[in-house]
Amino acid sequence: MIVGIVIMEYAVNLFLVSIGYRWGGVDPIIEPNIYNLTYVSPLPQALVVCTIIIGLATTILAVAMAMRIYEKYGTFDITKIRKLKG
Amino acid sequence: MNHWLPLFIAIPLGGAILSLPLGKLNRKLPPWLALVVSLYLLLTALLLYFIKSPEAISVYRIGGWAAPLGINLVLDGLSQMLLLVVSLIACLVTIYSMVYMERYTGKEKYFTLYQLMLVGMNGVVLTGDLFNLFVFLEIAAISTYILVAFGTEAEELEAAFRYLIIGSVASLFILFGVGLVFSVTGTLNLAEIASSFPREPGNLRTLITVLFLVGFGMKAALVPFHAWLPDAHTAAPAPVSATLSGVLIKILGIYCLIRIFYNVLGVSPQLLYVLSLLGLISILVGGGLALVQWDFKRLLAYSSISQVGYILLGIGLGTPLGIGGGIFHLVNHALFKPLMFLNAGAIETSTGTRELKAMGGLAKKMPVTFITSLFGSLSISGLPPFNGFWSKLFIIVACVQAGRFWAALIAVLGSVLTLAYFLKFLRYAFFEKLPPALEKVKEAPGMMIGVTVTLAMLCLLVGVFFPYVAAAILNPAVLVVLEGVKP
Repeated sequence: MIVGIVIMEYAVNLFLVSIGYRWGGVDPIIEPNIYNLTYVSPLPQALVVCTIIIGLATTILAVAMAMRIYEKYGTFDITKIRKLKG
Repeated sequence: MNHWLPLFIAIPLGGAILSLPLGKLNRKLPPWLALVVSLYLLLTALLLYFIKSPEAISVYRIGGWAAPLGINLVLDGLSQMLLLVVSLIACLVTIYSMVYMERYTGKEKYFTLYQLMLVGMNGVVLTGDLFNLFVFLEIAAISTYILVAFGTEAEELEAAFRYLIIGSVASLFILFGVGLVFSVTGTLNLAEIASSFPREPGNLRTLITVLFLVGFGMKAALVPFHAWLPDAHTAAPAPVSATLSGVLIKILGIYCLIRIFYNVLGVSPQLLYVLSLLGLISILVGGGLALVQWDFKRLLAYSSISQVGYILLGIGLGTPLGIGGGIFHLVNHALFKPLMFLNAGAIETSTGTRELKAMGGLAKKMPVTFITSLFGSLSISGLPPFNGFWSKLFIIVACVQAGRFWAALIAVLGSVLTLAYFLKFLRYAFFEKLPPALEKVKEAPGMMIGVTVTLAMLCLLVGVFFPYVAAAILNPAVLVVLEGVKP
């Protein structure tokens, strides 16, 4: 389950990076005397750094919780972790 | 005055960071720090109403950067109202937790997380940037995952894990939607997206709408996506369930839906139809499931789903009266649902059980809690002169005006269901015979009683002085939403 979440997150991150990509683009660094170049948009890349950090926090929390659940229930099988009903 | 806006985010953040080292020095300090922080937020949120007309929009540019480059904080009628509601509930719940959380260890961690949750909610309400909204949403969500698991018993962990998985999937839906919006418009500023997002329907627009609807719908616990809510509300400590149900699901779910669909992307008749349909399903399913519960916190949790359905039904009608009723019901629900959850916490503190079958006859033993529960129940079931009466009346009248007689009928039926399950709660908890195990039950501690009495009084006062509340607080908020449905 946790691995599934992580994979989904990477997929979305990859999508975000690819939004900003321009074919034949170069680094978005403005240098004197060079104009008319296609730049890769830097904003999505900044966003992805941010989402990676959020994803890291969520994953750590999920793994920590899974460990505590294992202590209590003695299993990782979600069909057996069913104390709550309704 | 614009400089006050970042303080709504910075002050609780500072409080959250300071709580941990202060807790090392003296275990008594963090609760008082949290109280000072929430009192400050409440006072500034109140002051804003006196120094600024709520219709005016004030903008703060973070770091002095103008809109396309920097992030804006925007305060309009809707966000001002929600700031007031959030600060009020946060303040009362903090006072309540000072007593209630005595049974847990690590109180300073609780207050740190609680203030982080406030940072997230205030940030979501104030921000004028789509990605920034996502970040604050995650701050609030991650701190609630931990707060739900605060007891670290088997049930709490299971509920929190379920909430975490569903919440993460919801966040990824929202993030994907944000990415698509950015790829269409090339900007993340909400005002600029509103002006440059293409209005004509198309496949991409439908995809974005569905992504946001599912993502925020999961956060708001609308019925097809509600699986996490009953578990999380039941397992969390009472003050946390009060905040979760009272403000968090509304800020992260309903407010974001309103803001994004009505003010940014624009609504279509089909979307309005889907929203009101989701609302109707939530009313029926939530009410029906609440009726068969025996754990009273679970009963209250299902009741939350049903009441959120009312809010969505009102907003989904798209008429001024419907939106007014929906927004007013949002405020009312933020008053009476925390009241009920805090009452539940008081009963649990005194009797040590949540099972309705194991209780009875508490009306004599806990008279104040009985009166406040009675107030809360009557108010939530929509009996005059309490506040819930007005908002439900508005929603039902708006349904009839819009020609949706079936919707009006279901709303009335939902109201009867609400009355039914609260009568069940009152009967089994407070009347009947007192079981021998509860002979020595005493009234809950004074501070907890003080908070519940305040909330009960607010329910009554808002109902009685309804015209003044509407003029001062509701109308500006409704006007903001109405901008979105103008043809």
